[in-house]
Amino acid sequence: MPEVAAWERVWIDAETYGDDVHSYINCTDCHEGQAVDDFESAHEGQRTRVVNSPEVCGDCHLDVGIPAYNSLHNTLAGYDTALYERSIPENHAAIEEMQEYHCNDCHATCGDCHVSQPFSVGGGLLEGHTFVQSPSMSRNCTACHGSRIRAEYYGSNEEVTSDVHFRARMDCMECHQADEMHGMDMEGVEDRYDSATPTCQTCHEDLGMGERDTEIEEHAEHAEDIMSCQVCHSQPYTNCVNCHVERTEDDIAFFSVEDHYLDFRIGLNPDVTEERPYTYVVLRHVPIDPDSFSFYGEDLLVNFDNRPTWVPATPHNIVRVAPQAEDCHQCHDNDDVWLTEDAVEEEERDANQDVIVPEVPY
Amino acid sequence: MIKRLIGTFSLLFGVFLTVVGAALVLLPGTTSADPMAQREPFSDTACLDCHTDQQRLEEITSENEADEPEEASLSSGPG
Repeated sequence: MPEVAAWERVWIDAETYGDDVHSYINCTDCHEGQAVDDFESAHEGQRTRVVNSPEVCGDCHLDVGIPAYNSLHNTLAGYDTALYERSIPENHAAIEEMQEYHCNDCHATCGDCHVSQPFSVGGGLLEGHTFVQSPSMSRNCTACHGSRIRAEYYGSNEEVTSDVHFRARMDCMECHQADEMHGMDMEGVEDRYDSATPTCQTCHEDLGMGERDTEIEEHAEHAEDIMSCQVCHSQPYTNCVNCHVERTEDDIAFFSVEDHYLDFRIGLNPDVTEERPYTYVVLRHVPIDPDSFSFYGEDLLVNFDNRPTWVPATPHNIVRVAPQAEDCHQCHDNDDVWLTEDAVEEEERDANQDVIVPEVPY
Repeated sequence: MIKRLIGTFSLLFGVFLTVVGAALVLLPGTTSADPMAQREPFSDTACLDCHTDQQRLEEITSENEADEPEEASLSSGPG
């Protein structure tokens, strides 16, 4: 993400912002504080980010205000789902305290996409406070989705090429369009794969999966419900191990990830649905550990084995022919690309029974 | 006879379009509302005077930066 000078982060470009309809709204309506000349008094009571409620933007943007407020970007409900399922109600208060310090800054409000860089990465106005209809890929989307998606898509991981769609100069919004971002028609969604995520077939319509007369032999051999597209077309991606969170005596929150590495593993799809009917999917190791939140209490994740630590992934480093798809043997005879029991740490095997491949398909 | 039918049809179609047009204007929309209708006139000029003044902002932010030395991140590993 490009460095922005401190003054520029809060500088309003009078020339361009004057043409923006939002410039008719009083500053204090959204930012609170006082409209006075004195610096200290002006910023007293001011919010560090715009008040996050469906009314602020939803007053005018009736169609997207409430859905966006309830969307995963704002609620981060996916984290609640994953953490609470591994815990018990008696521990939820401690987990919520942890989230207050380590998760909640990542809530993306309307402004984090349409007027400034996200608060979680330091903020800073995008275009002198002029509202932008489409977020910037580098200054908004990958500013948050950086350590995995950005590195994969841009090809920053060593010996892994960039995504073919990046090389075609496609930005995030080409696939992840406004309705998905605003959480339209997704009330009550608790997991990102419950929402209307884009599919490859939206653009690649005639893949001929499992059809004898298709031009691509590999597609003819594999029916659509056997595996997700990423099984053949994605490259190794980042996996993280054992993240622990803590706070200093001054209440500064921080985390430490014990290890991270590039790997590629195919496993069983733990949640076969109409939209994702695949038997096999690509799996990424997430950095959860039974003691990840021990700073906030002992044994908070007592039901750790309720969810796998290897979870379905859609790596954003798609290529036409990935290493495991160079020929049949690179996949079918290759234990290194499958999540077999041997590939899972012994203490995590119970948690991953739903995704471990009993035997490599030959 | 045909001319009369065409005339009647044109009249009814005109009335229909008028009713639909009036409804679109009068009934509340679902995609947008008049953003200015319920807003107070802009009066926060003190905020704007400062935040559009690059030189003033540079001075203030450089003073604040001098007061608060940058802290190194305590976190380690991909975020």
